[in-house]
Amino acid sequence: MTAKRLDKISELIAGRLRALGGAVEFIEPNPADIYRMVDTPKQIGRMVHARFTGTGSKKILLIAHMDTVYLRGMLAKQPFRVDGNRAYGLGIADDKQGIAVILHTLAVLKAMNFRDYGLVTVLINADEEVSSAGSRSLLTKLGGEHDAVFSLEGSRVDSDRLSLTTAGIAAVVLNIEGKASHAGSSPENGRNALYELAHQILQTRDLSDPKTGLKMNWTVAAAGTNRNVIPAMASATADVRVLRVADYDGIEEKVKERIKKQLIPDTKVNMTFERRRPPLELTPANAALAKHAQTIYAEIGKKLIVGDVAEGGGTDAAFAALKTKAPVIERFGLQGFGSHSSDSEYVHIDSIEPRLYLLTRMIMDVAQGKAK
Amino acid sequence: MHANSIGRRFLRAVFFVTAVSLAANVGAAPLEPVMSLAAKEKALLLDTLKELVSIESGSGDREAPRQDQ
Repeated sequence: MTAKRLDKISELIAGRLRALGGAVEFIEPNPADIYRMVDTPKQIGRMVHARFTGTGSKKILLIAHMDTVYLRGMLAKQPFRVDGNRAYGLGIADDKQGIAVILHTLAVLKAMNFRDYGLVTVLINADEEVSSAGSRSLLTKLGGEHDAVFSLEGSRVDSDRLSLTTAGIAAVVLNIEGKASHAGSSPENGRNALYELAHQILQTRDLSDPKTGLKMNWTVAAAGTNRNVIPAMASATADVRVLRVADYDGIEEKVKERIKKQLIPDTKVNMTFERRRPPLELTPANAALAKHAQTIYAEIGKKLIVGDVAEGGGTDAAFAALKTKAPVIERFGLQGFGSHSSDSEYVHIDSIEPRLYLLTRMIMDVAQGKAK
Repeated sequence: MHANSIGRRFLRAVFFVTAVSLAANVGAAPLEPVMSLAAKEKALLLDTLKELVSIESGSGDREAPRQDQ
């Protein structure tokens, strides 16, 4: 059902890209490439892929996502509206503005008949909010095939910026199997999965490392079925953040090692380490290109902040950067606020012109070899 | 006479330093027709946003809880 609902918006985007002259195709996630996590939906929406071929040699990839975090039925109570400098709507900041900026940047280039690039590729995926389970492999592949990647997540209303780094996000999922028994008449025959889970949580609570920015915190737990039954099952999830791809291996190994020491030998401890999203790491290439973006922004009298410290959230730019040395820069979208909130998500209307100018000029300068 | 000359030199130096500093802080002029085309697209982009946000596109499998339940 979810994938079908996403078809409607993908049709709209595809139609607009075709009208701009792109060779457009829908790409269904390849089942063999889907990285399934505990919350991955059964069906994942198709991607919209468009290619604009030019006369030059440079290849530029533009990415944004069409899906939102919102539940079915929420739109009716929160339709699009404009109030002063703010345009409100569900998913408007995260990330429908990104799609709109791409479409209208391409419209500006078309109006100028600018075709000095070799290829401008657009990829709009439909699963970013569920950790890009079906699109991550294509994002990485395309990232490796282009000379520059511009990702269109939004900037912030209080900080007109681009981002060069984003956090990597992982999850540790522990499932404990014990043995149920009557808590009143024969507790000694049970194997308390909750006790084992508590033990495991406590012995893995100090794995964060401020020196590397690695954070691991237990955030969700559940156990038991009835007050009078020794719980046979218990589970918990920890949120993990890393700033370097290499740190994933280290933290996974440490958790594996720690959980070998059990409190109740007869219980079974199963651990899954989900790499939900890699970090986007600072590189000389993305720093240099971001500096060029600052000079472009100065042309219109605006100051562009370049963030080189990860702010906690993860994005698809990191998948695109995973196997390339080419620059990958995040937050080319409009200034916005309230992503993932239910009643206050908006974008600043007065950021439309500067951001269209910035992305258009960046594409032009990369295409013409003026920015590297 | 001598004092006036020093004063003029000082003012010239201040003017020069200010001019150089201003030049360093101000970027080149906006490139046309990019700027005017970007301005022209503003209203159209808002229309596009309206179209995009008027389609529900949640990627989870869940429905919003009804208020009366």
